[in-house]
Amino acid sequence: MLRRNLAETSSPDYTTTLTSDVIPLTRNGETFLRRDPGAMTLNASGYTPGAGEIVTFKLILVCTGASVPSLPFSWIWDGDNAPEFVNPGIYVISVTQPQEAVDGTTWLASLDQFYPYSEQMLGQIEYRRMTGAGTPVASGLRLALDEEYRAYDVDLNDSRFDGETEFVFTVMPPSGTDGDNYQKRGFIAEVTFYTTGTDDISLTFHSDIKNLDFEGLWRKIVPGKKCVVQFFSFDAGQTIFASLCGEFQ
Amino acid sequence: MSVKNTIWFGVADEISASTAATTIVLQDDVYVYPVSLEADTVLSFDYSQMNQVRAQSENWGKQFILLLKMGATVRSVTFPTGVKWNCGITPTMNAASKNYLVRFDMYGAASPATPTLLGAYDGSFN
Repeated sequence: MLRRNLAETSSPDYTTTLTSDVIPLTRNGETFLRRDPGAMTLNASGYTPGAGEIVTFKLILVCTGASVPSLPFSWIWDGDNAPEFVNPGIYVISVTQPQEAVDGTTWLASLDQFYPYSEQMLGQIEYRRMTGAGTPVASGLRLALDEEYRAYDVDLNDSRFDGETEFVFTVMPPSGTDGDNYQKRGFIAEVTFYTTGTDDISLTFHSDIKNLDFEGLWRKIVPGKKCVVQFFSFDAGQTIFASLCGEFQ
Repeated sequence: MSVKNTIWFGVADEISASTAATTIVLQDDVYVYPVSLEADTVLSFDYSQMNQVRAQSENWGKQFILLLKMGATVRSVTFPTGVKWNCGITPTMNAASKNYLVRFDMYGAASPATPTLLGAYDGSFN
């Protein structure tokens, strides 16, 4: 029997980001993240629990309002309160199967947390339009990270950006230090770039950001696709690196 | 990805790998271990100070990153025997003046602490 309890330390936890509405359970304790989910289904055939083993997994649903998700009808909800997903935001759901306590097939679910989508989730974005002498220059976009949030969405078609299609992007490290350990801390933040407009967007990462095996610190953001980039630092933000996590529909 | 949590994590003091064997002492509250490669070296991990995770009566796990700093001279690094590498690929670190990131995901019984180690190459930067 393989079980893993990640300790409550400062190490970040990781999730499996789903690219479809199928939850492919392959180990106990896994966390799945699905952005704009539809009709979610569970495929538990990839994991065989031991006798009496309590199987749990966590589901993080990022609902931007683009769709209204549904979860398997057979799940039994804590207090009979199945979430209705009427509000955009992030839903954190725990699912467990106490095999011997119930019937070995029943999944019990509870909505643990709900974080409403709000402007704060986007971080503080500073936009600066730059124009050269007769030559268009990419405008500057700076995201101030919030130490409480690891994930950020940036819609490059935001009305604040005046229809700009070329950006130089950089991030500011989060505030919040704890004295003696200030230099001995790092951070990781994940930023999802996309556009709700119809034009391609040129996104160049500022030269201050170091490159982590990244084929050029430039991406073309096309409508309908999302580009996920991790920004991290090992010295409290004095040096920031970028790593391309992937691009998905 | 935890969506709401602090994004800070602990970084250890830089470890000098200047001899044929280098022991990295893992700690509960540290996620990144910078290692300055100054000699060909064999790495090993010391779990004795991971009191918080080892104290758990059930199985435990932890993730951490080695930030391996290659200087002007390329040094060889031998990872602990038994590491299971992602896709079976052991990191290739053969460029001078580069920093390499190697991530480990480990789990095992509380005592004795001989965890299973899963390794993955996470990239490099100058």
